[in-house]
Amino acid sequence: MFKGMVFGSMPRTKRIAKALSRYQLGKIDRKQLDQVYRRELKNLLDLVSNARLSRSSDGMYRWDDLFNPLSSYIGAEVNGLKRFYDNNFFFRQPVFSKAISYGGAVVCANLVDDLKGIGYIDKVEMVSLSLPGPLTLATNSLVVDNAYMSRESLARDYIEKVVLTEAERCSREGVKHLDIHEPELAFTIVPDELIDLYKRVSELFKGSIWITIYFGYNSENIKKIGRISRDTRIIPVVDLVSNKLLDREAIEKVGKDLESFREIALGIIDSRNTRMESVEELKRFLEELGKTLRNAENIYVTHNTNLEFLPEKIAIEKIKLIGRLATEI
Amino acid sequence: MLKEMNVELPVLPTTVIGSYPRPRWLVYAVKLYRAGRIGVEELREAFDDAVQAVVREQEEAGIDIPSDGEMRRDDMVEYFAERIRGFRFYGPVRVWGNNFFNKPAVVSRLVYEKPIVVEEFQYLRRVSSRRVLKVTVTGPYTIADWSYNEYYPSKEDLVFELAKIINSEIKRLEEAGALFVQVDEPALTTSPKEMEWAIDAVNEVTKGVNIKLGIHICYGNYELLANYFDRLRFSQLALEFANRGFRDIGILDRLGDKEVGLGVIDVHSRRVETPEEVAKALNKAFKYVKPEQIYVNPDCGLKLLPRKIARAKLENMVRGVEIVRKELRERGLDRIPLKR
Repeated sequence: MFKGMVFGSMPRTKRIAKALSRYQLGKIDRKQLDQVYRRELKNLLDLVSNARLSRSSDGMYRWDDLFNPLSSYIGAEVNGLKRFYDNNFFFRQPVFSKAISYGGAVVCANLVDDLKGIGYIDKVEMVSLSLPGPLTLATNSLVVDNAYMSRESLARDYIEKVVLTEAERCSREGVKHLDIHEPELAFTIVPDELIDLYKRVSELFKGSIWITIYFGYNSENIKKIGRISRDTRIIPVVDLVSNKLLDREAIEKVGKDLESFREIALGIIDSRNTRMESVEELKRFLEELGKTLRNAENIYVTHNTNLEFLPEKIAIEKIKLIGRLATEI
Repeated sequence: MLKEMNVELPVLPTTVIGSYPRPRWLVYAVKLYRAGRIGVEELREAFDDAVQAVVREQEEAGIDIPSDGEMRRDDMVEYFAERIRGFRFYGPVRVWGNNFFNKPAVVSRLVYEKPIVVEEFQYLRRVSSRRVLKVTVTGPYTIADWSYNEYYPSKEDLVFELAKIINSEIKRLEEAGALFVQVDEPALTTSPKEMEWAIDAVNEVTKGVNIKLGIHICYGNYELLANYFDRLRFSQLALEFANRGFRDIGILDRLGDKEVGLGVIDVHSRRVETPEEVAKALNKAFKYVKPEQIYVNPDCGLKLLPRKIARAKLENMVRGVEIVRKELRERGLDRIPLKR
């Protein structure tokens, strides 16, 4: 069965940008800024519902980039700008001079407060919580003063102190989807230890964990995740656009990698190009690929990476396109 | 081998990368224009006045090769895309924090209809007292990398098409009397797997051009770039070193006979470097390249700094250069030829 979904960060709207500037200049207070964030969240959820998609992120409107402001909540300092993979988009690099310490599940608390604030708490089950993946965070951070001895030790500590804390709170609050953004898994083979940690999160979290991999496609990592997906609610979100895997030739290869999954999300709408895809071409592709995914109970149609790389009006058109695709197949 | 042009400069010529902070009143004038409260002629007058102001400021600071501060350009890619037929704008996208740019989309075959920055150069020449001026053009790889491609079958096709257009523009600048054009390619090292053809594409812009051509590449992977030094058909590479604490400066020993535009001023810090720090940076560079191969500049454009700080940084950069020039003069090295 095909369904549509959106994940990750949406374009920061002019309304938010303006409100943030005014907030930084002291012209509006925190409460007024929160109202703007919430209005945009409401707009997004209305858009997603109208497009008949089955789930959405919160747009990550409160985030400057994948790591901020979370990194300042977990005891990291914020360094200079760094390019976010091969995009003309830059993030503030987290710097760990001491081990992570995390007071509480701030991200989940904000999400739930925002949903309550707009009277949409009944939609809590369709809205995902977004977090940076452990390997992506560890790879893109700077460690000083021997705060961590390896990238893996930082990743492990982050899962134990942050992801598990958020997952536990999400379970209590009724959040059913956790998006772990792991673009690094498009390039680096995931260590077995990390796979075990994902499993630990899934044991604690009463919902689905979406390992969201973008900017490339990594067959080996998909297979590794496949091995644990049978006993858990871990679902990969794969980017089929960046490596041009949207033709007939790709179907056999991709189909083989994905055949074991009961649920899978296929990123087939390009979030890094304004060109609108042909619905007919993609429908043909999905129908063909669907035949090879015999174990899949749910196939989610989605975009390949954050929609925030697009201008707002194109991102909206692409969300509508996902809805059309999912409902017309 | 670089060829000498019939123009001399003091040893260690001082220059800028290109952009300079817009005077506050110009920012206000642009806002008024966007709100429809002043017309295009009034805006042009404001731009002209701003160029005069910032050129004078650079010259007073002692800069040998000034630019027009890119006063007329909001953004280095947007400005070119607005003036090449085939681009379309759908709206702003975020680059970092709360900073956006109007990312263009290529929606049809690109056509070079008329000169893009030639009038800028002509105005600069009218108001500057210097013989050699720097004109900056955005390079084809960076324009393509920072645009959406809806039309060309591949990014490579798009970059080569843009290279032809930029080449035409540089030829128009040469006809107009420009002596020194810098091609800005900050994105060049973004995708290592594209470097092979990207180098060929940026070299296309130099074809049939007989003036000095530099290329500016910042905040990138210099170890990777150094593998291509010998293939780049530019006489000068303007590189950023202060921001990275002069790490990677060792790559300069692979420069051959090319020149370096040595970035000695960090444009992302408001701290004003001392003349002694600048002199020290130069002495560090002398371990790898001869003084005759060095031009001195900030790491990158100064536009994001407060104007006062930008000026103070340039003044101290020149003072630092003077310390080293004095020593070089004692060794008989006073002036160098402009080379292409």
